[in-house]
Order: sequence, then C-alpha cells, then structure tokens
Amino acid sequence: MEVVAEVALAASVFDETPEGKSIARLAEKYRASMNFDLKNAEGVEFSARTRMSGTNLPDGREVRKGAVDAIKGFVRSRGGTVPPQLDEAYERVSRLGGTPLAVCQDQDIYGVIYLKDMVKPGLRERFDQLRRMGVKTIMLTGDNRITASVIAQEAGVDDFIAEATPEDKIDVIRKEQSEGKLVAMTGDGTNDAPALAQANVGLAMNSGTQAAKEAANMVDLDSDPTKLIDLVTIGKQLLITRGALTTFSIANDIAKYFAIIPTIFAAAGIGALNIMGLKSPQSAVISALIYNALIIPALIPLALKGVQFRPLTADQLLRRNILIYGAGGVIAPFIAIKLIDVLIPLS
Amino acid sequence: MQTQKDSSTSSPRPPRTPGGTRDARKHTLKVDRSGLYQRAIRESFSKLDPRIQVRNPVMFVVWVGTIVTLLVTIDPTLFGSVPADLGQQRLLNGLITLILFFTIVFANFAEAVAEGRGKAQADALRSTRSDTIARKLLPNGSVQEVSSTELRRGDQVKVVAGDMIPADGEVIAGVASVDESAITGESAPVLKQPGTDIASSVTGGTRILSDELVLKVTSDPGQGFIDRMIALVEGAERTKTPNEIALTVLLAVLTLVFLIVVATMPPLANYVQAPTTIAILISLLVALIPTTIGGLLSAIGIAGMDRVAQFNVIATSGRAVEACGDINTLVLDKTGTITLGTPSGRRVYSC
Repeated sequence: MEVVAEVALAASVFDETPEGKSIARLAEKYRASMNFDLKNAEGVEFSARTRMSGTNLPDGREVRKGAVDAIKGFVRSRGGTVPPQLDEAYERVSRLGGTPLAVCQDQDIYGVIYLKDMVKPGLRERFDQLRRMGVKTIMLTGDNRITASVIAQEAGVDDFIAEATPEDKIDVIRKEQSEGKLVAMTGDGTNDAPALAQANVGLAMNSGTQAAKEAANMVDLDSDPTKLIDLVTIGKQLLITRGALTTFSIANDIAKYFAIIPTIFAAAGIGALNIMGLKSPQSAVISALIYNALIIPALIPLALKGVQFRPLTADQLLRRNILIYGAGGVIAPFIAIKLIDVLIPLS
Repeated sequence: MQTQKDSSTSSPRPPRTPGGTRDARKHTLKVDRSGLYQRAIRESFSKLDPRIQVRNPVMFVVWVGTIVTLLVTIDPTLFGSVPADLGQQRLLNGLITLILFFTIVFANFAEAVAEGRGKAQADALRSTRSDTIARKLLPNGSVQEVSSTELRRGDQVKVVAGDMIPADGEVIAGVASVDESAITGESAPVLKQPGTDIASSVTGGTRILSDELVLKVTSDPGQGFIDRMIALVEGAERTKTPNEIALTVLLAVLTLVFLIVVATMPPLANYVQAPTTIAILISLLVALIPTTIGGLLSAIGIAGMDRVAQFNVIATSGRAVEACGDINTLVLDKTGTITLGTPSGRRVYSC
C-alpha cells in the first residue's frame, strides 16, 4: 500500500487540479514521502490524447497516473506486462461508485487509486425533507449504472437515470408530466433549453447561455443548482400561508355573526343568542367592525413572512391548518370583540 | 424584511425555510429601505381610487358600503325614517364610516408594504442602467459611436477595458474579464470568451475590466436582462396566478351569498318589529364577507415573489413561484448539484 501511495504521490506532485491535490493528501495518510529532488523533476501535463499525467524523476524514472487502459498502454509500450489483479481492483472501485486511476512507474503497474465524487453535505437531509413533503427526486448523470446507483444511494434520491443524455432530461420530464405531476429542474446549457421550457419550473443558472435563460421561468443569479430545493420550500410556504389566512378569515365569521345578529333582532326576544354579553347593540356592531379592521394590519407580518413552514404532506398540513387557523379563527374574534366592547366608551 | 438564523448549523437541523442572513449570502444590491413605510402610507390612500379597488371584489363591496354609510351620516333619514334620536344615529353612522374607511386603508397598506421592497429594489437597479456610448461595428469594418439605446438585436459592438457593456449579448471574439457584481453581487471578475456554453453571454450594465471583446447584441432596448428584472420586481408583470384567480372568484361568490343574506334581513326584521338601519346592515355585511383574506391576498403573493428575489432568484412571474409549491418531482443533475463535482482520492489498492 505504502509503495502505491508513494508512486501516486510522485505522479501527483506537479498536478494542481483538485484531484491531484486530493491524491497528495491521500498519500500523506498512508505516510508516503518523496524520495527524490523535486527541483530537478519535471511534471508531465494531462492531455486529452494521453489521458494521463505524471512526473519524470531526476534519475530518469517515469511515474504516471491515469485512466486504466491508458496506463495499460503505457506499460506495454515500455515492455511491461499488466498484472491480473489490476482488473480486479478496477472492478472493485467501480462497484464502490468511484473512478479508478491506475498508477505505474516505467513498465510496472503498482496499483489503483480510488477517486470518488463527494455528495454535498446536508443534502441527504434536504432530500428526506422533500420526501416528507411528497416530492420525488430524480438524479440524472452521465456515469455508468454502478457508479450512479452508489451516489444515488448516498445522496438519498428516489430515482436515478444513468448514462443520461440531454434528451433523457426532456423524456423524464414528459414522462412525469404524463402522470399528472408537476416537474422542476435546473440547467445551464443550450442543450437544456428544451427541457427547461418543458418543465413547470425551469431554473436556469445566470452563468448559463442566453438560450437556457430565455427558456427558463426563473434565473438564479448565484448559479447554485441546489437552490431549486429552497424554491420548492418558498413556493409551498406561499400556498400554505394563503390557505391558512383564508381558513382564519372564514372562521372569523362565526364570532362576528354572534356579535351582530342578536343585536339586530334584540327587540324580537332572541337575547339568548347574545352569548357574548356585549354592552349594547351599537357597541356590538362597532366592536365587531373595529376587530374586522384591525385584524388586517395585525396579520400583515404573517402575510409577508409566511407561516412557519414544516415539511409535511398535504394532508397533514391541511389537518394542522384547520386546527390552528380554523379553531384559532373561531376563538380569537370572540375574545377580541369582547375586549374591544369592554374598552370602547359606548353605552 | 426577515432576519433568519444562519443556515450553517450542523445537521440534523430542524426543518425550516431556507435561511442564512441576507448579508451572509451574495446579494444583488443594497436596497435603500428608508422611507419604505412613508411611501406605503401615501400609497394606502392613493390606492383608494375606485379603478384600483374594483379589481378586488371583496374590498370593493366595502368601498361601496363606505360611500353609503357616509351618505347616511350626512342625512340619516336618506333611506327612510330611523328609530333613534337623529344626533345619536349620525354619530353611530359616522363611526361606522370611519372604521370601514380604515379597513380599506389597512388592506391597501398591506399591499403597498409588500410592493414597497420591490420598488426600492427596482430603483437601485435603475441606477445601474445608464445610457452609454457604444462602439458599433459596421459591415464595412469601421466603428461608429452610437448611444446604447440605438442598438438592436443582431448589431455587433466592440467593448474595451473600462467600458460599461451596452446591452445583453454573446461574445463572438476576444477574451476578457468582466465585473458582473452589478447583477450577481459576486465581486470576483468572470472570464468571458466566445464559443463556450457558459462564459459567452454578457449582460448589459456589467463592466469589462481587461482586454476587449466583440459582442453580438441579443436584446433590443428595454428588453434586456436588467429591464426585465426591473419590470419583475416592480410587479409590472404581476398578473394574477390561476390559483389567485380561483380564490378571488371563491371569495367573490361568498361575498355575493352574504349580500343576498343581508338583503333578506330588513323584511324579516320588520316582521318581528325590530327595524334596522342601512348602516347596521352594511356593518353586518362587511363583518361577514371575507375581508381579512381579501385584503391580504395580493400581499401574500407579492411577498412570495419578494422572498424568491431575496434568494437572488429572478422569477418571470408569480405563477412560477406558485408552481414551485405544487412541484411533485425534482429533476437534478448529479455533477455540481448533488455532488461537489470534483472527485477526491479515498484509498489505494495495490496489485
């Protein structure tokens, strides 16, 4: 292991990419050290043609790291042979959902580095939240099925599509929509434009192309695709707030009815309905109206901020709202109107 | 508008709306919020215009009711004789008129406060948009200096270091760094070059910091990104969403039902020898119709759009924000969205 780490480190000293730096950090964990003079060594840049990078050491040794078949080609060209365990290691890394990089020195393959993309921290909890709200998440990736399924499991998405092409994006949106669902997606490239236009909510990145921005119905100035999750929350909060205040407003009627109706028919002997015990017919009408006027500015902060949001399903939310804003909407005006009636100096 | 706790807390955290103080995140523009309430109070009264009120059926009924109670304040016997002493009746009617008037003013105030932030933001955006002199490239290769307002879609312009980019466009030649902080709040310059998916579009109102670029203009005057943003935050395009329309219809129907209920009251009251006055009937009507939600409905919608804007997202319509709440499926790209996008070494295997 240490030897592999040492070769990997030697092959990565000149590599300034995040991958290269992470390999150097990994090698330190294996307590690998550099046993050559860095000043006289020479870095070999990665190129799309060779698909590997590395270092030429001062004593003439050549260390390389790169795609497995590229390294196989390199050692064969130096007259070396490929060890049978290489494919085994390659398989193992693929099964873990990672990218294998082979490392070699001259004609000998030393081993495989297991590279893996990190799932953003905190994302799993966000997806759990979405699931509780009844929102399904689908991950699209160009990776192979094995890698994709590992990442999907790690991130906790509900479904994934591996080896996806831009056309798959629009297909998956159409398929979901044909089941009567509303779909949101993000994109930034021109090839995303049709899908952004097709989605019910298309969030384009500000760093994206003009075509993508024109096809979308939202543009994120910070170009952060995870913001889509925040937007779903904001949208839900808007709908919940509206529902809650509608419930409250209509529930208020009961108390107002009991405040005013008995006063109108007081002469007809239905005084028994005056359960609120208001002072006089005039006072009752004025109190109900004052409450009616003041409740609007009192609820402005709630209307602007939105009711407190909890990731629940639609049914749970409905029950909760009926309980809080429905029952609250029945009780609150009884108390408030009685209080105003006591306070105002009307006979 | 809202201050929330910083979102960088460790998980598992209690579910809540996405947060982080606005200053902790990148943000578009410093919005001048002084005078927000004065402006809202002024607008509460200017919105009393019946042409504006008629858009909201519930509040319009209150508005008409106020006019009627005002008339019976002036002449209590206008709609027939009254049972009580005239002076006392006048006082009661006057009080009812005053309270109804303030009910409408408060509803207007709710809407004005919600709109106020967007207006302030639009003013700040407008300050970034100024007419600049653009170097237009003519087909024969010569350069003509024109005002940026004369540029049309398809024109080619040349911008050099220090220039304000005159209009939205695509880079067709040159490589340069551009300061986009006016739009994104991101202070680091962005590299722009032709032919790339990501880095070839530029926005009018941003500034080129180095080298020079040749751009192809992609928007006509008044149609650019900043113009669209101004229109959006000002609510110029704030048409009612389908949900809002449905709810408005529901509230209007409720209002109509109560109007009929109240209209049947006087004969009943007369039958039981308890005659009522018109002012009391209007009071009953206003108390029963859903004024609370009727007055706050538009404020809720505007606040939703505003909250999206605080997240640095420009929505093209309130409908888009609302649709976000109804979403059943999220389609996400893996790289950069779910994962960090840069693989890192986890372990080595020898062979």
